[in-house]
Amino acid sequence: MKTIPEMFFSVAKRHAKRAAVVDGEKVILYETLERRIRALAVRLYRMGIRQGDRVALLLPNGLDFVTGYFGIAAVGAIVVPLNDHYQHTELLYFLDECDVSLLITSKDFAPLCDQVLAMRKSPCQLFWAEDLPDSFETDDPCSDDFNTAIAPETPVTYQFSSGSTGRPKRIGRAHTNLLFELDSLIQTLEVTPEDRFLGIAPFSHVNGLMRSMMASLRAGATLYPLARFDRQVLAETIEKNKISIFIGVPFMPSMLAKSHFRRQPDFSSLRLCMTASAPMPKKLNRQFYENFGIYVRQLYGSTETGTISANLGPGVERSLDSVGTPIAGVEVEVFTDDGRMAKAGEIGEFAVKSRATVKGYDGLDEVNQEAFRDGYFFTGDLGKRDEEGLLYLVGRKKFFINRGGYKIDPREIEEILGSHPRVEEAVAVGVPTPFGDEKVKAVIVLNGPCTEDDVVEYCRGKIADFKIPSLVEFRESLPKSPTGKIRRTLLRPEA
Amino acid sequence: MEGKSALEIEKKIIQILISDLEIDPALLSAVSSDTPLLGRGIGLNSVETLTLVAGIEGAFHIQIDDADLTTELFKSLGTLAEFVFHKIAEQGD
Repeated sequence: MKTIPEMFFSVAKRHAKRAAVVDGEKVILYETLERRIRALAVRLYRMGIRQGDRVALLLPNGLDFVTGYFGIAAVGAIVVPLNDHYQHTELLYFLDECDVSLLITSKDFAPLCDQVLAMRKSPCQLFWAEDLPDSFETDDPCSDDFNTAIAPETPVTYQFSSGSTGRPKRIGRAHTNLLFELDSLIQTLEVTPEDRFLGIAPFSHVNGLMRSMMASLRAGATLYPLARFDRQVLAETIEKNKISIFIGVPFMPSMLAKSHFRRQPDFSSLRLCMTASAPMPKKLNRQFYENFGIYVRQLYGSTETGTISANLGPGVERSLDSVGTPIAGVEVEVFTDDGRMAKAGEIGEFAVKSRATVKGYDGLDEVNQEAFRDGYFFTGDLGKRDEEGLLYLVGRKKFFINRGGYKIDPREIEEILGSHPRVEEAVAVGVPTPFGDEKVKAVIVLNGPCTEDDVVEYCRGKIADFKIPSLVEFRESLPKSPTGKIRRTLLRPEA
Repeated sequence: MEGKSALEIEKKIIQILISDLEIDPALLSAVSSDTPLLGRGIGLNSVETLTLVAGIEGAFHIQIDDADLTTELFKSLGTLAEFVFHKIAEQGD
């Protein structure tokens, strides 16, 4: 198995009669899912999609996302998963940046898509998820045309990472990168076909995509996707279906821990509850344990490297803050500012080496020289390794705002704020929340009358809801260095 | 539900906005029953509304279904307090 579609078809053959996806009332066996995927691949091929073409997916978690992902990959095209909270400015950027020639989406997004596609200079076909074929016509003369050899080193997915500057950077993750990560993850988490995965973290993001959707289907396990976070539905899904693995973002178990249920749900089927993308607050982790009898364990990863480490060891109650040890086949070093390897307990930058790591950002040679050195990817995350080898994250070198696990480049918000006619200068910073993530704060210098509400309303519809500032502060001026650079650290609350 | 008037519930909701969502009390000093909780009011986003609801559940020992969390519910502080009042009546000890 050298490519993602080969991997899926091989798993589907081996586990044909097992449930692959349970989406609400629909139970889809691996053999049925394979037929759906092959049928979609044929349709895409007939629509002119070929190897290397870029096809975007704008769908919530669910069977259609799974079918879409593997259908696109089966033709050898590159999947561009898009966050279904994105608004027109963001969608336009990602569609243009990836040169997307076809968009698979739901009719729920029709008004937004019509608006976005009308603004694009290059043509883009639309494919409605509601028209996804349910079966594979084996006597179809075109049915195998798509099935040509795909080079394993070519990208199967484009994802984006916030860098230290500029707009999100495009990353092409190759079939080999994903397969290596999946095998490491499955080995480390000891996933078996008996496992039942909750698919609640968004599949459009590396966390949900790799650690729930792909990991489940790679292992021949069963995936229970949920389109949105609804506490009662989530709790009922875990209890009723005896979910064994729940990997989300800290906000999810935090909310479950804080919520009042008339009858405490039974989570005894869970053997792993994990979060990634932001720190899990210790207090809420303990509350989660008290309520549900299991600690939330932390995973650490990045879009560039895939999953890096997991805290799976015994005695987790003494190391709730830790992101654990590197998963199988992943090497992590901690480098100090002067370039030497840090001693135990000494803080430095995490650098990662593994076959799941990409070679660089697309078309950004200068940035790549800085971030990809000596076989390592320098993550920009600051942390330490203790005497027992456990990794702890303590901060970051790069500026971005972590909102519920989504890494937001502040400059993207600043660009929108700066286009407001009454805004002279604007800076976006992260303000820590009790849930371990940050809310967005805008610090603005005005050149005319403007209220906080005006600012927030101006952003609405231009950027996703989670990027809109929760706090707005007006100042006479912004703190700057002698060279005129804005000193962001002085605007953050811990400064 | 004894002694829990809609007005008292409103006051408790304001306390939760301050303690759980860390909203500056000065910003909430002028709110009334008619103040919208979303948009050009207190301006809560989807994550913050859920945080508020979890806080309300803990304070009043009630369960609020996420399916009930519509824009209409957060139309104003008063509409949310009224909803909570009825939930307490429905589920309260």
